[in-house]
Amino acid sequence: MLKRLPIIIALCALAIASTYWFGRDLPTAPTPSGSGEALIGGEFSLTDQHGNPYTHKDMLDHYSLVFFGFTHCPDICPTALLNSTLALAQLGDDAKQVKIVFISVDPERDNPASMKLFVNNFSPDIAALSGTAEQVKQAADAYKVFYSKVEQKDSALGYVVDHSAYLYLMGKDGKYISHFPHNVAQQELADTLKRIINP
Amino acid sequence: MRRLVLLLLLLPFTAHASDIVLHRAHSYELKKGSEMGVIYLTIENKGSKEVALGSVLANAICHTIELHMTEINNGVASMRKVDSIVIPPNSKVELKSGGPHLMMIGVKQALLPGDSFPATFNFTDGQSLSHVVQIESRDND
Repeated sequence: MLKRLPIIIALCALAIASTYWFGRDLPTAPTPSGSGEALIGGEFSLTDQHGNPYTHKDMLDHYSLVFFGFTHCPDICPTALLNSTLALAQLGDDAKQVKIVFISVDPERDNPASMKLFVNNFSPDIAALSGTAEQVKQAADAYKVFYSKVEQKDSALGYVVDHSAYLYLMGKDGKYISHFPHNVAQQELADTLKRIINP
Repeated sequence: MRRLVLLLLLLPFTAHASDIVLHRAHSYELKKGSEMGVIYLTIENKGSKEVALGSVLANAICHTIELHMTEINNGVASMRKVDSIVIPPNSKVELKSGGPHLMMIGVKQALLPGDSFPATFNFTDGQSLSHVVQIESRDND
């Protein structure tokens, strides 16, 4: 038994490590009620594209569609922001009740200026948030968002950032309501938002 | 000059050379100052041999175009540079969001919807196709 102890310990460690790792990837299936509500969302302190502070408190009194990404992302991030913008365009006056929040997971390259340029391709009304490595980590941890810098030495980009690709719908109280894949159909997103805004 | 005009008029939106056909190469409008863009298209290989796209150039518009592959695993998006995009015999490969795509790096100017720009698509077997990339409005989709 004693001989096998190191193997048992190693297996336990592996099990714990893998739980943590896959747990970070999240978003597991949306949890409609109960303990799941507390899992996604929380405190953060970042800077918007105009250079003003933007925290979790700025998300109160309206709905928010939160997406994490980076400006050197030509594919997934534009798709998420475009789908969100076009879904909101279908809401008419109700669109005023929803704010799209784009949070950079690339603190080395992104800043208010780069974020402003990027989101203006979709809508200047998007809150485009960047911050220091610590601030970004706080926000990503609050939303259980995975992100990881990956060197790409043979690319002109130098590196890319792998990141969770979900849109999180947060309520007027700042609490999690639901989430969607980045490429959710505009109509589906618009219909869901309509139902939630006008129950 | 007259020949050039004629050539430009004949330049189709679907390029064709040998067995490779490029369909609907398009990019999206970009505000001035934006340096990153994307090109999507469908590449059809009508031949009986595998072909592979190795590089794309559009020097008038951007400094570099890289071949990239996006994958989503367990909800996490990852993008990697690839050396080539293979099109098997008698098949089509669609370069689209969430899959293989062409990333423009160092875009030099605003891209306006309705405009277009020329690009050269180089295949690893030595074939080279010129093709027009249409710039589309983002709310077309």
